[in-house]
Amino acid sequence: MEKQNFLGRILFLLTVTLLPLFSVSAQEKTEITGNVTSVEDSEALIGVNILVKGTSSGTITDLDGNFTIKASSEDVLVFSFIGYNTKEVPVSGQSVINVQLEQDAESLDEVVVIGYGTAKKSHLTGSVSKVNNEGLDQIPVARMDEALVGQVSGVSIANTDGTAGGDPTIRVRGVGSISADASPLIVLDGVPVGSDFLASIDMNNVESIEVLKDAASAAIYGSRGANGVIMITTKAGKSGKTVFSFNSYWGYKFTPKFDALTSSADWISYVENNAAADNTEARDKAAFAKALGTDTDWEDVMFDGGMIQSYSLAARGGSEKTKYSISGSYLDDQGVLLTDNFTKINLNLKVNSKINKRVEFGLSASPSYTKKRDFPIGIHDALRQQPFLPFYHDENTLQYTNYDYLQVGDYAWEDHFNNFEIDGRTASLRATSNANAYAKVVERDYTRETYKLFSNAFIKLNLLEGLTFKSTVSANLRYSYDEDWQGEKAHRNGTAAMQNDITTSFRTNLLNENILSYNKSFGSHDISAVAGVSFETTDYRDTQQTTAGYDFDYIRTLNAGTDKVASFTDRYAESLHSVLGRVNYAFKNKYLLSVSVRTDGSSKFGEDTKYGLFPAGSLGWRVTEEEFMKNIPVISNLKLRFSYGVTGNNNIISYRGVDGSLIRGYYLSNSLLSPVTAVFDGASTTGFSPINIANPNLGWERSIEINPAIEIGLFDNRLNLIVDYYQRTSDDLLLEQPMPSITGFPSAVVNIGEVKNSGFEVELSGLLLSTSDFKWTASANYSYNENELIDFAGADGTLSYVDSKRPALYIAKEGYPIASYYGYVYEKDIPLENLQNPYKLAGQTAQDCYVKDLNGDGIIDSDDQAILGSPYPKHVWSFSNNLTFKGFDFSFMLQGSHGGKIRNMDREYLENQFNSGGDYITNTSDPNFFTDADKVVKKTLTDLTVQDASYIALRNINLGYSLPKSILSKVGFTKTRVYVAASNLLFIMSDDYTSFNPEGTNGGNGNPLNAGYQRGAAPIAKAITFGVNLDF
Amino acid sequence: MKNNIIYLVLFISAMAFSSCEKFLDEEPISQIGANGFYSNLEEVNTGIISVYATLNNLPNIEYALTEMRSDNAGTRTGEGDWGQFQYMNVDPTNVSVGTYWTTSYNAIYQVNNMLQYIDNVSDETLKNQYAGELYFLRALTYFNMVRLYGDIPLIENVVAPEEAESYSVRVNTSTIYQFIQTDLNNAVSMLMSRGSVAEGRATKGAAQTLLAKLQLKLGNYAEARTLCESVIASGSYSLASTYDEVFAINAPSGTDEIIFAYQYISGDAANSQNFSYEFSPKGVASGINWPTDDLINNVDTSLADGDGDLRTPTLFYWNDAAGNSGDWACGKFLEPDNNQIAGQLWIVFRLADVYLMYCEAVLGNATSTTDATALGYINAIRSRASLTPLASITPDNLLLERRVELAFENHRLFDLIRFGKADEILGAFATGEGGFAYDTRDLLLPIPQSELAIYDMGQNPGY
Repeated sequence: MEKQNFLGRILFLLTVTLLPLFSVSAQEKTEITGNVTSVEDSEALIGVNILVKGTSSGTITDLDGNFTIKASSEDVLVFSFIGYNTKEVPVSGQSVINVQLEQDAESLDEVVVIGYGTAKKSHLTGSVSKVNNEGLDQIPVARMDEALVGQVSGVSIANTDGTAGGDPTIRVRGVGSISADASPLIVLDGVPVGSDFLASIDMNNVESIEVLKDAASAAIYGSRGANGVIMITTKAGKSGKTVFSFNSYWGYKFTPKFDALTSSADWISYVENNAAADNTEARDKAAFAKALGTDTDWEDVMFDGGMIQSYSLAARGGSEKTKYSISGSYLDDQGVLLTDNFTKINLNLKVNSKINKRVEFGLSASPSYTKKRDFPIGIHDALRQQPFLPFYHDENTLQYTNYDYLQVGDYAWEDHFNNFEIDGRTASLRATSNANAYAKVVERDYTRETYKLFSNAFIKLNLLEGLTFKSTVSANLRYSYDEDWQGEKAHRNGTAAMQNDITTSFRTNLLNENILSYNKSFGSHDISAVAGVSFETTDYRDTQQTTAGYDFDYIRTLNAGTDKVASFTDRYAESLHSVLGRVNYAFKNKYLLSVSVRTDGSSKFGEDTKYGLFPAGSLGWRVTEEEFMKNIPVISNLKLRFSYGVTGNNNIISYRGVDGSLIRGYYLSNSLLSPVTAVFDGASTTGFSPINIANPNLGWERSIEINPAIEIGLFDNRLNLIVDYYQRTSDDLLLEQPMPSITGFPSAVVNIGEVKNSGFEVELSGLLLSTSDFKWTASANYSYNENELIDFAGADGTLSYVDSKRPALYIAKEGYPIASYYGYVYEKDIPLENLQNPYKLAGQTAQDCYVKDLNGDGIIDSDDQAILGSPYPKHVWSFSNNLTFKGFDFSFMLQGSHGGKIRNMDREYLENQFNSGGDYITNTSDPNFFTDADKVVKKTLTDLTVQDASYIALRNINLGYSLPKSILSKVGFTKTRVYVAASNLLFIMSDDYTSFNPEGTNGGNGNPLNAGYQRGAAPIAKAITFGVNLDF
Repeated sequence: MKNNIIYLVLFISAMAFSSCEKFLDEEPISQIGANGFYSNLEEVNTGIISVYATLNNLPNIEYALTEMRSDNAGTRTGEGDWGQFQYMNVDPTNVSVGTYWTTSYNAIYQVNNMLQYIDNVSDETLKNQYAGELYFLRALTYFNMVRLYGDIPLIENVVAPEEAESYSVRVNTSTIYQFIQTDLNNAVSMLMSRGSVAEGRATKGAAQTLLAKLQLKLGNYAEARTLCESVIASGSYSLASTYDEVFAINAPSGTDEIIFAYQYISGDAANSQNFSYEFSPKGVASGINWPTDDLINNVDTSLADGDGDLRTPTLFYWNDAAGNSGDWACGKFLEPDNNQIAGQLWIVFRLADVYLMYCEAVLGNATSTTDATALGYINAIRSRASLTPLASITPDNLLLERRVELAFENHRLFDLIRFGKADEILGAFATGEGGFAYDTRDLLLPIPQSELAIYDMGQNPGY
């Protein structure tokens, strides 16, 4: 409904603003003078074409942007300039006409980065979306991928981990894999890097981001293209004066108030008003809590908010021959949770130099450091304290415990308020022997530090006109150091539970690429071709040490503890060899063709399946280039395109072996023996244990995608519409197939199964208003995706769950999405009088409920379960606006997701459902004995845990003011802008949803069959910041 | 220039299409490839060690499948997967039920696999010893499996995935028992005696003990008696002087009472067990294999009088951690500092068990016996516990003696079944302290759902 209003408004505005432009008439000629400048920077534009409309008379602007032309008062002057929007100005009796041209926002001739080259946007035949970094670096989020939310249709970036610096889940056009990682390939300045680089890239240094969405575009990345490709281009120097840029923002992050917990005061009055007079246990407890008088809001404690700040300084410039870009940045995000913190430091260096006409070389190096301190336990665990519990003991609380050893300042445990005699009656508030939740968080220090170096050097030879050879060597190194420290007071078991877990990991990725490129236009023919070969190796070395047996908090070194609980090293490697080629051909800018092929060889796969072939082809027809379209001036661009491509997914799948140890999928085409030990004569002896069923035919997952699309530009491309339809079928899926244990192993990795994703994407963008002072652009994205499990290779209908203690079921059923929730349908609660003690804990509800007898056979059993929905949203949209008025600019983005459901397990914990006080009465002699025990099931097994994950969010909003140039030039600045920005200022969730983040599907252990599982996810974070952008 | 380009193109083509095979040859680094391995004595030995390394994981869950399904033990909280055993309401999706099955068949697979390579052992004595160990370990695994799950697939050789369907057939228990008997006859004839091999590896005495257990199960009392006699007469084993000494961890391989045990090393992550810790209230599940009142009430814990059962302080300890009003916990495998990575060994067979098995063999189907040798054995155990000697042995007092002496050693459920008392005793326990509905079907575990989902070989009745 909202969308229709919006469209109506656009059409109205367009009619009003554009109609006058098309009126024509004729009269006497006079001399007209004027000046043409650019809207963006008010610089004079040289060489602008000025034509009297409908005639051949015209002129161009001089070095100062001035022009003189003869025209009559009824004439219309047409100003056109490459890279700028053509502007028509009616003379209407004016003798001086000063015109500002603006850069073409949706320029058809924009250059788009595609794999191993670039292409004119007008010549694209695949589905590639480009996002320029226009203000993305001002969105107060710690990571660049978080700033991309909503920017591109078909790309879902879900805030699954809401902690500062936490990884979002990125999916391009749905999930096409069941077990292997379905994240897109990340390509940084042409070099494929691990998706973990997204955590350490400096958004301030990003120029643009292109997403290769369809298989035909991604097929140039062959065995890694099936999940789409995100190409990141960093900023480079431009020839001319060195420009210094300083960008900074500073602000505060916080969560909305959820009020999911019951206060102690509310619970006391609830008991006083409702509990039966003879329910002395409940009444004594309430009296105890009342006397104690403490009331803690654990939400406030755990969601404590924090500062976010970002500083970045860059110098970019160069000569005609040598260009450079140097930048550094610092970001600190304290997160909205207690202990939650993320720090990021980046340095970037990029130099390009042309030695002579033939030889050019370049180097870039970007070291980075990130440090992330986690919130060490689940949110559900941190919040399920009783509200009476204070952090620490004080003089008051100590009066209510029996334990003499406690002192003022000690952490208060529920256990301490046990069996206490008050008013002559003994009462216990204790429900758990666990340590204080605040202590459980702050007395643990879980910190992950990562050092990365992205480095890249190339030499480029111009061999012949249009023919170049480029050889690139890239080394990408990562070292990470994770330390999980559990201090003495973090656990009820005290020193016995003290532990330090240190994990280090080295990753060395080396790449050599040799690419021949040919770009030539002759006559009506445009040819652009690449051919190349690449070699890539990655070596991994992991070490983990876990030590317990500490007596003190002071020193955390492994030698300060006595027990080596776990200790291992692991080393593995992979290599990839590729040959690739592509030809893009355009005839008369009208008929477009692209054909590509890549063959990848991977060390991970079997002898006969090492190599895979990934062909693609696409066609385009720019209908507006045809003569018959020239008569329809409203339609400035009409393009039809169709693409077909084959891509692969070679992400390995790791799985747990029969003894529970991790088996990484790097060598699974071999039978592997792993060292084990057994003890004889009291001494450890080494043996070798077979760990897998070898699969010599192991290969990649294959995706085949078709993508027809239409692109329409109206009114000189002021309004652009792109509609893509796609259908991607993924088969030969890498799957851990359950094996009968009699083979010796419970599973083996095989290529089976088939999944289909189909949907469509709409991108609508428009320059709605443009005057010399006021400009308004808007864009809207919409994506629809349907996911379907086509073939599960004999495992159709497999039921699975995440936690065996609370087995909320999933079903993988052919004809339905890969992951579908499964369970009973809630009917009603058990009456309070049938519960053992409904007043035992604040906010407690019963564990069981009545469910519907779906098959109507009069009994409740597993046949009464049904599919309860799936985690994948159907409709995802965003709507962005950008307005500038004189020095002011204002932008915002609304973004929404609808139709997805979430398996929210938090209520189980926050409402203490498992606590026996909420169980029904089983004692047959009790007058309230519950007779319907066979009609109720645990709530976790019902649709009460399946909730609507839809939301609408004001993802970002930004209001800025740029000082006029006239003032700036005097103080040597070329740009001074100040702004206030906010993220998620508005976040509307479904009423049905009862937790803190409808995207926080953190608990499924990465298993796509258990997608959408939520347990203790970090909450939605909001931020308000103040920032500056300075160029000088 | 033109020539240069041609060279360049040729060079790239050459790079693209040659020498890549080698480039893509990545050998495993943290593992080794199995091809051609197990080719000599040392390598075959590593494969046998691996079978022990697999089986020594089972004590970390076996108590749940056995002791917690009897009237001896339950859990402290009654929660989740562990609670299912206590209430004899085990779901086919229960994790431990699946793990036990999978681990056992993995061990059987390894035995079958290694038997193919046994001829690569050049030393004839060691070849016999190794083969004997493999037969013994396979027999032990099948014996536990068949008693827990009933009819199960009988796998005698390595089964490839494509053959798996035809082998996914539940074979009658009597056929399985026959197969076990053949394995054990091989093992008894091939294995060396205690002292000739490292402690912790299978011996002739261990194979004889297991065979005696099988014969008792099959009602072949004369054969069982002979086997028990052989074990006792071998001179390899003797009762420890005190009960506590049997479960003390100062001797890494245990006392002379031990016939077969899995050894662990305290504080060594790769070689430790976690059941000692899990039996304590500090465990992840807050205390499992938790003694029932029914067990405690059957032990004379009145040590203060000076005439109680001396086994009491070994069997139980008083748990009175902060905030806890106090209750009895299993004390048998407790580590001195309640270490999470414990070294307390797991005793599979010990001489006291064989003494009582001897009594059982002598008793046979009779209602009582006054056989002097049998009385001597049972009273040796009783006198070690400072209990009055018995004048005659009845099934009831033998069962009680086994219950207390072997408490928490995973014998109780099988004893109840073998003595034909399971329905009577567990039924009464269920309606009393147990608090659940007992059904005879509960004596067998369900076949894991994960197995049936692949090839439906049929579930046990009642599940």
